[in-house]
Amino acid sequence: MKRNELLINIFTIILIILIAAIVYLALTDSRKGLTLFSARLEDRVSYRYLFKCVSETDALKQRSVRIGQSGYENGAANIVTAVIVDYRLFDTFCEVLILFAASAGVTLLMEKRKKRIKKEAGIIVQTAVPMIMLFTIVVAFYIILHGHLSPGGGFSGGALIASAFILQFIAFEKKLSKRWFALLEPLAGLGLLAFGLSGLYLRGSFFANFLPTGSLGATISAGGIMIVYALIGIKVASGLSSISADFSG
Amino acid sequence: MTVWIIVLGLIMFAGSVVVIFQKSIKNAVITFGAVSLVSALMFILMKAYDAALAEASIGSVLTTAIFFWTVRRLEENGFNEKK
Repeated sequence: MKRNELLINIFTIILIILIAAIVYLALTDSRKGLTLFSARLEDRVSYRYLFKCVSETDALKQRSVRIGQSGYENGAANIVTAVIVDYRLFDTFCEVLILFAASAGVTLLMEKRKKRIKKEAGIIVQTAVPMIMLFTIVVAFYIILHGHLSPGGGFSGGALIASAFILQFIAFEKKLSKRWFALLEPLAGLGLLAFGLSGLYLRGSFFANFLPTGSLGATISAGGIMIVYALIGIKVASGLSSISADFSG
Repeated sequence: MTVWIIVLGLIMFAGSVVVIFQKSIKNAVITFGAVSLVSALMFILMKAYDAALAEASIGSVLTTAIFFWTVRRLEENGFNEKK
């Protein structure tokens, strides 16, 4: 027992040293040493990217970007989406993995209710909930598919779809089967992984945006951002719905 | 605008204090959902619409529903908050 604890401690120390080395290497520019507070911003992606401006009149005419132009590195009109789903997609991918771990843990730990006390919802709730569900799901699809143009995206839209399903779980005793959520969530995750690997194969870096970017502001533009946001929306919606199905029944 | 943000922040503060000193669990859960709804309103005033959507759907729908389902499971297993 004690030997195992010692081995685990040594392994943890080695792991921490390794992570510290990786962080040190990531923070240094071109092997000159640690340049945490004096790094030149022009060498970073953010300077090239965050000067994108969609408005008609701006002071930075030379760097301005107008709606309808094409040929950009990333054709998303929404800067936040471009950072979340293109430049920092690895971060988002790991967040989605955390959500998957949470929903898998809830599914593992929760058991079915044994002593059921049935309380049906009233007729007003049972009539109103399907209509509200319909509107909520339509708004959620709009938010997911316009993630590269307007605020919102996969997370907000997926949470909206999940709240529509929660309304259904509250109002009716008969539910959608949990098997659908358990099937959809890993499939969406595998789709994200396949997108990343095809980016690695076609452009040479993981999660590279390999589809044509189109013109700025069009509905079908910005390359793979629409696909990635649809997959993230499916994954978030099915994960949160499976958590709430486990809690409710 | 700033006045409204301060007013909503004070409402959120008062609501969170009320949540702590509430006698019944169900009332506390409903007050908690109302606090996160007010915070979604504050996100809208600050023009963070995506954060407002996520807060409104996760904070005030999912969290409240999960708390209520937990209370129901407790009551089915013999928990009574009046005792």
